[in-house]
Amino acid sequence: MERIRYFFGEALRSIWKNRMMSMASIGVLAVCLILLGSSLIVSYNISNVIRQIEGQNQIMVFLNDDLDAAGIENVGDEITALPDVKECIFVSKQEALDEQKKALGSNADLLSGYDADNFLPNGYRISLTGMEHFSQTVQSLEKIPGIIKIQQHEDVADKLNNIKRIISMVGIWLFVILALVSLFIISNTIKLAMFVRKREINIMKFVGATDWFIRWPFVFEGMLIGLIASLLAFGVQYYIYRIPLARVMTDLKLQELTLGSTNIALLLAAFVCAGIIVGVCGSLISVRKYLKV
Amino acid sequence: MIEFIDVYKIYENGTKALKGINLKIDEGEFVFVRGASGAGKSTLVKLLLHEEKPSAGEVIVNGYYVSKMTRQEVPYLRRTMGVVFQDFRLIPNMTAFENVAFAMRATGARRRDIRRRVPYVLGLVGLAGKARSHPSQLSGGEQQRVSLARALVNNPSIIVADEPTGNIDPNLTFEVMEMLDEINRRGTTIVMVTHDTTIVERYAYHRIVTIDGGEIAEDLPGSNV
Ligand SMILES: Nc1ncnc2c1ncn2[C@@H]1O[C@H](COP(=O)(O)OP(=O)(O)OP(=O)(O)O)[C@@H](O)[C@H]1O
Ligand SMILES: [Mg+2]
Repeated sequence: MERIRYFFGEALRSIWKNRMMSMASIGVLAVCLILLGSSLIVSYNISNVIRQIEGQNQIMVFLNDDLDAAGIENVGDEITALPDVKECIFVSKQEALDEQKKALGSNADLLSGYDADNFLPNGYRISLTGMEHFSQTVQSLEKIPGIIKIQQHEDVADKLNNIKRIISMVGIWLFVILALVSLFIISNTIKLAMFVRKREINIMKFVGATDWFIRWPFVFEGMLIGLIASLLAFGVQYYIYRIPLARVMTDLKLQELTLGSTNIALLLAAFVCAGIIVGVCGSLISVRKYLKV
Repeated sequence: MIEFIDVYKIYENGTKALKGINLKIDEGEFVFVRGASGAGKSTLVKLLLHEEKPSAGEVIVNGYYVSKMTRQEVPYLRRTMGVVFQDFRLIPNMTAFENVAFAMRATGARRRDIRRRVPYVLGLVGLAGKARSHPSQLSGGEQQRVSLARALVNNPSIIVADEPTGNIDPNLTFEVMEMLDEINRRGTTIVMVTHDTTIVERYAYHRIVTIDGGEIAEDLPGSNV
């Protein structure tokens, strides 16, 4: 216990002594973590949107206007007979128009001229039991005569998936690059700290200090740099996530950013772990080669 | 106890610093090691501390076989010895007390023990009143006494001193010598490298080993034992 306090005290002393380098290390590592965090949050939210779209499990099919009531019913029966179909609800031309009007809200009268001459087709809203056989179901639907158009959300989900993949890729690569830069800067900070105390280290060795006794304060120093950087990054991240990022997401017509409190805790934990790991690795790089006597 | 058995030291650049040293130093002895510059005196000291390894032969210090030691064992070998250097090697921004305490802390000593032991050791070397002084505020002799206190603080059985009076005003060398003599009387083995002939002559009742060209040229036993 006393030893830990000693190591900790030495580490703090050293950070303060080289405060310029320490600040640079903390800053770069914090930026690195913020990038990681932002890409994680965005990916997480896109995943949510995708899941929501997919969760609707719905396909809309439109029917040929030539079909009579019996033909319409026939198509309905054929759809219901398909394996994954849970529900198949008829949406008449009129209902479709009403829905469109509702969607337009105060601009609904734009469509008032079409009441008599409704251009919208009749259709079925199909709910599936699951998404696993989605494309097979779509293929089967295509084969049913009388269906002129199939509207599915899959392409939207695909696009979002792509965006998500790109964001994660860019985020991860930026993280890796910046983590390497952080590692480099931290190891140099520690190297400087060791250089400043070269004389002390040399004397410690002659009076019989073990290598680990000499190393620990520097490992603590790296750890502290990582910890401070991660807390700083978390604070900034929280702010970013609340304001500009949220605006971007809503501009993209994606639903509002959500992060439950468990996810926030997870993010904090991830930051602290990543920060400490980078900090400790950075110091170990320097400490390893500096102890030859 | 120290034993050199047929020890050779050839540095990487080919310099043959020691050529077949056989030397046995018993507990409680005071040994001067003298010789011309480049004779190999400091190399002898470096082997004791495992700062260098012998190229051939074996050095045994307090039961440790220097040539066969692992990295992890070295600190424990060094704890059995106190070292005094010509250039004192004190930390300038620490007080005398902190310099001595530092050596104790480096071995993982408890704060309580440090607070008790350091003033006692500073008292032994006659510097009780200078505990708060920084090295720059002390004379060369006083600085060397601080480094002597540091060497003593972990209660070693051997003190190794490489030209401890080399950087000290001649008037002050004897205060350090008296200190070493006193420490030896209390039972600590002392190996002291010097080429100060006046010192050796004045303390000629101690054993005197003369090194020449990496070999032992003369080994005069002490007269007071
Ligand atoms: N690290 C080293 N690498 C190569 N040669 C060395 C090294 N250290 C010492 N030597 C050589 O080994 C020989 C013995 O050196 P050593 O330092 O033991 O002499 P010394 O007796 O202590 O001399 P002095 O009285 O000048 O301190 C010298 O020729 C020296 O140049
Ligand atoms: Mg020498």
